[in-house]
Amino acid sequence: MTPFDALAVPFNSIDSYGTYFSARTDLALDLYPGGGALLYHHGLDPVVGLAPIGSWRVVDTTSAGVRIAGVISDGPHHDAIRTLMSERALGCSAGSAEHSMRIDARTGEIVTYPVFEISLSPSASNPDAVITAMRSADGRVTFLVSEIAVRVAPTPTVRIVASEPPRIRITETPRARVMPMEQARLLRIRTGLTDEYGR
Amino acid sequence: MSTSEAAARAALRAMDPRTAPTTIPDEAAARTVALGEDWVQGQRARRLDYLRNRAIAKGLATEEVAARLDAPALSRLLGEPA
Repeated sequence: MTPFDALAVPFNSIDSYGTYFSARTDLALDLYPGGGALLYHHGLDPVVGLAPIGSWRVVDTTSAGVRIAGVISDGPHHDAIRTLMSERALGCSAGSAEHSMRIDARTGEIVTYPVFEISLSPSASNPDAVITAMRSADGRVTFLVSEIAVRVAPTPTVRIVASEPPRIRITETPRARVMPMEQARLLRIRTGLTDEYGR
Repeated sequence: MSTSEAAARAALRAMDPRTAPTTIPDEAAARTVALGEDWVQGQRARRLDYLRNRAIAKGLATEEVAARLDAPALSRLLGEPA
């Protein structure tokens, strides 16, 4: 069994579909109060299929997104998936169903996205959905990333410039604020947020 | 958009879980058969393809992408959380 921590649903981070989750997105996280099923690649891997590889529960929701504590359960899949995880070859991907999703077509903001499962995948559509740490049986923690991204204002800003004739300038999407862990810790203190380690 | 960028974008769509061709998984086999080294190698290759396609779709030169032979180097090139 391998416990791990992850930023499963990053906010304001545009994925390969051009859509993004935000703090306003209805993720229906109360659907599974005891935690949900962990799949591999949304059940699409021809070998693993829909066999659950573990489980997850929500830890908290921060300005960076929704963080989970997950477990790769013991079984024939465990060692291979743990190996890939330790090589940082896997990302996180929240799965919903087409009929349950609502997306603002104008902005790309995902309005409703009930999380029916969370998957580990080598080709997750959002690179900010990262596994942050994994734990060994004796509780030792290995951090897999040293920084998290807090993204703001995901859509291009349209600005009207006061000149004649009026013209519209599209500014670049602001770059993500990638913060070292220490800076993120200070931000958490300022905002009153703590993580599961009490940092 | 260059031809290679368009091809990379198409490849990304094809390998994305939400748009990938549906296969019927052998669930019974997954529950009883250990995932071997072949499977792990396949996942590593998939990861590498994915990162290469993302880099090219982002407009990075194919030569520059080809020069980054491993996944960690490509991740850094893409500015992913490290």
